[in-house]
Amino acid sequence: MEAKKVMILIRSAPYGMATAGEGFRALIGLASMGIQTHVVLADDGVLVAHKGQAPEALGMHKLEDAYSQLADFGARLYVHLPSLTKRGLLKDDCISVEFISDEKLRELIFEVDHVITFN
Amino acid sequence: MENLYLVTRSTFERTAWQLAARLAKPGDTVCFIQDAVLAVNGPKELRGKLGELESTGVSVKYLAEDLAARGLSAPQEKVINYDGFVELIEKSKRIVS
Amino acid sequence: MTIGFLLRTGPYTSQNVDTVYHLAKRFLAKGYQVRMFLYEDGVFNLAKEIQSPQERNLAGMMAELVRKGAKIRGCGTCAKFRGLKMADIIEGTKLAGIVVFSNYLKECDRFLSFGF
Repeated sequence: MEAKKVMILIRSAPYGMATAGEGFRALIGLASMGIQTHVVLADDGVLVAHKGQAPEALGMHKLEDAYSQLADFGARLYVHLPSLTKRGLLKDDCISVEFISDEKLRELIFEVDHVITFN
Repeated sequence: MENLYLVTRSTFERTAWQLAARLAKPGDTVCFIQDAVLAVNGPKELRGKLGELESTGVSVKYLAEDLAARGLSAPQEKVINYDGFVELIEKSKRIVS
Repeated sequence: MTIGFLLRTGPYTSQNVDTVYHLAKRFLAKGYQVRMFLYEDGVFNLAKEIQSPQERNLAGMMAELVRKGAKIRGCGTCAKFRGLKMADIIEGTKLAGIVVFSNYLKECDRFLSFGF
């Protein structure tokens, strides 16, 4: 079995759905098992990278902090810029990520073996 | 065959189809299944975009069983049944949903 | 060829499990390998006590895929969070960790995700 390259595409905003949180649990597992993991936040998923989240009153974990640790696990984190812009957010509103265009996202899809979607 | 973009949710209720439409390139296929077969009726913005994509060589397909279940239809050449869907998956390098 | 599925939705909630079943059945009939990882509410598709008078039995359909050679595993942590135990799931399936999901990704030539 050879190690694979995988893209995890997160398309849901945090907290309303468990998707971004459960996606994180899966992708951390994959990254720590030697799978080259590229995490792309697109559509409402860009909210995961939004700075200043405070879900403590909801009794939930802060996903902004969780996703900030991705680099420690060898995974790369990207935000689809057109999705961010469409939601009225700026690059400065985000935690440290790489911003990608449609073209770059398409190139990244061509680089990986599988695209796993959390929508 | 390159990548298969799979759309499953209603194209009226949800905007998931837009990412597929933005990313699909000549040689790719955009396939509508489940409630996404409503795409045969729109919305208008989607119909326009699909027309553009098809003119550049993107293939657009609808799953026959999901159309029939909802009493909908699409032009014959754009309809695939489950066996065709299986072949499409085999031929596609990646499936993006 | 080996085909993998990630299924994140539960039974009798969305068409996802049906779509996965109809595809998997055909891939198995062609002699392909099928791997399925059930995540989040997807683990409930394995509940062996599912009874569905006058309706398709989704756990039965999962069991049929297992009999035909599919490897199906449910996420153990997801099951724990939902109060589902190993004893509650259909024969031939297991609860497992992300390591199994990771291995499926390595084995598969094609991989499909079904969520919301």
